[in-house]
Amino acid sequence: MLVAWNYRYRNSLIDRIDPRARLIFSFAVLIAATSTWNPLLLAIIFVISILWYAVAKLSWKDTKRGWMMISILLFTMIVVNTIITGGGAGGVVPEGGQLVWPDGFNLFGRHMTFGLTVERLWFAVTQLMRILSISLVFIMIPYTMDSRAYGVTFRKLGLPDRLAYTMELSFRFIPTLARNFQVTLDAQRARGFELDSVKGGIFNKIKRIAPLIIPVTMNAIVSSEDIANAMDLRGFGQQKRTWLYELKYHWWDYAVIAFAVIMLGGVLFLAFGRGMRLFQVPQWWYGLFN
Amino acid sequence: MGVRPAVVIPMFFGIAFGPIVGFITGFVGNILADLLSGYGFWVWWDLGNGIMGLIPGLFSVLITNYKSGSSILRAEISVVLGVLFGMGLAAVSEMWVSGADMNTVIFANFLPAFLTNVLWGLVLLPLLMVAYSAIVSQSGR
Repeated sequence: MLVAWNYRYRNSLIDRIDPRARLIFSFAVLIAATSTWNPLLLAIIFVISILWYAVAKLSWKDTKRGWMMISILLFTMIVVNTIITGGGAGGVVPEGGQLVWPDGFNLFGRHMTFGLTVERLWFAVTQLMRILSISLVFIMIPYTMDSRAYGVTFRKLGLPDRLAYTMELSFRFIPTLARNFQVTLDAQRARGFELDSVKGGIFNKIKRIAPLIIPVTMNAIVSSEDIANAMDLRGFGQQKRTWLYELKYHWWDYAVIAFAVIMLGGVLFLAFGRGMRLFQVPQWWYGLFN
Repeated sequence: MGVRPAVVIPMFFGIAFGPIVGFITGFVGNILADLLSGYGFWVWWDLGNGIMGLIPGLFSVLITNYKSGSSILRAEISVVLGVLFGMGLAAVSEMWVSGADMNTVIFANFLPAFLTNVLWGLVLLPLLMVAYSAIVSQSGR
């Protein structure tokens, strides 16, 4: 079983931006998007996120798996909870409101009534903008950041050496762990173990997977203790560590960071200083249903 | 109910090596898993998985013998608490990230995650503890 990293060089603008600047920008979008329910501010953040995603030159084929998972989240949160069941907006959307279908509607020859309000529908749009803004900036990270850069990026952002090196070591040993997993799986299969169809109830599934999980975990522990001993013998942690993969800021990285700070500052000022934090429905939206 | 056996790893590492190792295993492990699967970066759920390793790690001082019934019982209690607080935090975070209300948080986010993780943890953790006990006694670690 090969573990294939999602990252590859695409010669895009994003590839030229320092990973630290990219992470700072992504977190600025996250904080900005979660600070307000004002649709105008969220629309601006949403457009910024789309532009950021667009310059990464990611294809649908590359990212479809991630987007499928996010679609499930969006469907559950927005369609099922906010629109269909009427939950999902408590505390943000005021009670009551104008019904989308005040007189009901006919479906398959039957007259139906549905309590969906215009306000709740607009909240679904606002929710979509917020969740998509966050998803757009974060889903592209594994596809646009070299796996060798994670450790040094977190170190240069201020994390301690040990924690940053934990990330680096984890990336380094994922393929090794995957290979050990495959070897264990083959060995268990040779002994009559079948993993191909894990059906049945939860306890049946656990019974089937346990003969794989336990040897793989124990092997990983034994290997990791050997690695820890090797690192201790080489004096790891005694002094400040250097990194093979170097990061260097350029003027455009500072520009991205400055933009992120200004965007975040602007949103926070408008949200908390100018009363643009709360959810509101624009008048033109009501006009669509009159 | 999902297939999520890997959830027992931070719990077990917490029990075996302490709260810091448990937290890092869950936190960094979840980040890596999400990055590998292209799911992105969801910091609150990463923190939740870290807590699922941290709380069992806090119980590690009470684990005297990986094979004894009392130690396994304490470990199981730590699993329930770890999943409760970890998935609770992650689910509640949807209120300010996605704007979900409490009903959505409980029924769409918390309960599915809690039930899946606690079941896998409760069943697999004692098996890992007994297996680790054998390794410790054989290798003299």
